[in-house]
Amino acid sequence: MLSADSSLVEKIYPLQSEEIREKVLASKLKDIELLQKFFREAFTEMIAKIKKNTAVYLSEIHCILLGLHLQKVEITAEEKKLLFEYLVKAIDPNGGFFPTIISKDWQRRPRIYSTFYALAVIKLLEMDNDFLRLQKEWSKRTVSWLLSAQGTSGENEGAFLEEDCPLSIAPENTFWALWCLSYFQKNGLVENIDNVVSKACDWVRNHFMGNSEFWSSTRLFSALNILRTWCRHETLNEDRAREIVRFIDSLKSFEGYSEFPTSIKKGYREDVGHAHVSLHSTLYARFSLKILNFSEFKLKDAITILDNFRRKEGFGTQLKIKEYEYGPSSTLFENFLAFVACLSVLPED
Amino acid sequence: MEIRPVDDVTKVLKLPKVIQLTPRRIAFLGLYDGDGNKVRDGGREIGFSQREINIHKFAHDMFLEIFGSQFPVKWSILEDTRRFETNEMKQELNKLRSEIAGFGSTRRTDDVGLQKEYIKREFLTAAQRVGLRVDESQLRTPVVSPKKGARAAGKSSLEYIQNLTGSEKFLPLWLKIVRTCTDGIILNQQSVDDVLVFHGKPHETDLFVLDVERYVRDIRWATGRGRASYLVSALDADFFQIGKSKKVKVVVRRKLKMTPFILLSAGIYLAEGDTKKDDFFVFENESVSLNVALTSSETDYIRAFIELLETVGNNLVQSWKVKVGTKYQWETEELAQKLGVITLRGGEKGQGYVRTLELDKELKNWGLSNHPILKEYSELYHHSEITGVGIPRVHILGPTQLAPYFISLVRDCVFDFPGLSQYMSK
Repeated sequence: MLSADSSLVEKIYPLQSEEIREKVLASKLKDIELLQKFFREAFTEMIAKIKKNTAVYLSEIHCILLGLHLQKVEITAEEKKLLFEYLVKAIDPNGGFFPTIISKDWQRRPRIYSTFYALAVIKLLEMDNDFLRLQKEWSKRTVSWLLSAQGTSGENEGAFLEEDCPLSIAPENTFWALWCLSYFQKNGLVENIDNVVSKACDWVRNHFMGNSEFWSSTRLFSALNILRTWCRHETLNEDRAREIVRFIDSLKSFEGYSEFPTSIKKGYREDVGHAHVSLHSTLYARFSLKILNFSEFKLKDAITILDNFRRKEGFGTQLKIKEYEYGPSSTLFENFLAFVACLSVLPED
Repeated sequence: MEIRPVDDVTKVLKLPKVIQLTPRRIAFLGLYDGDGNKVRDGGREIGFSQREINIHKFAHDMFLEIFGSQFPVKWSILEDTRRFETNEMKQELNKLRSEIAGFGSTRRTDDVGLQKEYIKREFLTAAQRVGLRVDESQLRTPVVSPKKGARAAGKSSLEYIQNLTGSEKFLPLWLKIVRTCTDGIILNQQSVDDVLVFHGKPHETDLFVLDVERYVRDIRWATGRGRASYLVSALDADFFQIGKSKKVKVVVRRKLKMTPFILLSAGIYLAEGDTKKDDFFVFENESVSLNVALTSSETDYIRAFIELLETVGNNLVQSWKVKVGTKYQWETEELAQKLGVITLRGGEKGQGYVRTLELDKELKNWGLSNHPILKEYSELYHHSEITGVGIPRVHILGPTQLAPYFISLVRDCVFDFPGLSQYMSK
């Protein structure tokens, strides 16, 4: 059985209690059955790729394994070993994980997001002890590397960012970094991260939450996740919560929620077009509203959302730039989010 | 033959029943497809937009050859105000102000008026230099705008446009002719609906065969250390090697069939290629940094460029990348979010490589699915970057070693096809 710290998973995604999830899984909703099948097939494909030693992204491994974990699918000891060995190959000896095992030389840099995904997979595989025993020195180097990624001055102070991408600041990165540091702390590899957490909370509360120009559906969800996971003593004041709800409301349209308000793009171009209403933005908007205790998320909401974002290849959003399609219409991660949406709902009375 | 639009029979276009596709005309069709007006809406005229005056002269001659003088030409000149934001330009404008005032002219001497006068004179001088006859009455009021597109003080965004006045109703017909010919040639169709008929397949039927080795040996280009020429070495019966130095060489074909496809691709490259337009005309006498590359969102252009490189030699596609304009960073961020990651961008301003591997792979896939010809070059993909202003597009890079030959060939195909025939293979 794959195992995860369920409270931790629920902190990342607002899932319902185990009991309600059981009911939803047993409800025989066609979409749930399809998604369960989707993840089992994705797992088989992934194992085949791993056996061939071809590139699989750690973000994909996490997504598939968490998908299986949520439906309580067992994987064999041999598969666990295979996955574990694959992850070890993605280790950067200087600290952190590469996004995958094969990449061009100039791309071989550890990333905060891939380190989060890798550690979360190790946790799902229940192989923490083996891993941390084998990689004790590496873990310490990883902690140092993560700590060095926290901004020390200006508007980035407290936020975590990649050294070679100074402009790429997102609450997601800070969430992933704090998760990794907490993981190492629980395992006794770093003593005290209170100061680090405090600075990160300050950044979220003051810099990010204080400037609505940086807001988007996904970013807000990540920021709220940071606040509720690590900054409990710093609850959002009511005015700010209302402001967030108003912002999310401004993203709403008939089919769901868009990621950004169109006003952001207007400063840069005339051909703003219509906002993309996307699956992930819609779900993150709904999850944020749920975190803020503003609205419930019921079965009928999930069904409506899934109906709006059903594609030939699965669930997802076809992004467009002018009339041209931009990227795939459905991704593994979007299907995972669709599955989470099903398991986050309150059954109808 | 007279052609009248059904909704306005007072307008008339006179064209011969059969238009022979001469080498110049084929090259012009490619050039027009790139830089000509293709917007059918809003009563737009047949027109051509460029900043390089030699290319304009060629387009002007071709319009005259095809349409005669039935549509009087009007010229527009557009520039960005930022060009005039340097001390040097301010001095130039002051000189102009004194000159105008000294002759008791009624012309405007305020800054904008002077800027307009400056670009007008500059255009007339350039036109005269290349033998393009333009009367002042043919000029529309020049436009100087802060939004034209120059990125820094002193930088120019100059554009000249020639329009065939009164041709609005015939633009759709002209575009149909252009597209039929370009599509037919790119797709190697000998005949399209009996409207376009070639003597043979456009990729295979040659007007003559170019002796590339003789041609290449005569090419010279200016460098900081004087004029340079190619080092040539034999390879086999079909190919030989050329290089600017002994160390790096590229493999090119010994005999090149001068086909309609080569001529059309040369016209397209002249319009759409990344080589600076001025460089085509100065590289023999001025030391410039020549490159062979194409940045485009048009599948046809990408295909034509790659096939042109393939025709010229072996393994001449060096690498390709995807460029996404900064204006579309939001869509790109959403694409990353769809993958459960964030957009990581290198560089102080985020102008560098996309550094999220998952996103980089998706952008590569986007290039491959939109431009199927790239599938053969999948391994040559290098990276993606969020830079510039345009919609997502593909940049294809050829070898620098090839540049003097390639640039000469493109230029001569368009401007001096008869001159090329002196290198006809015996």
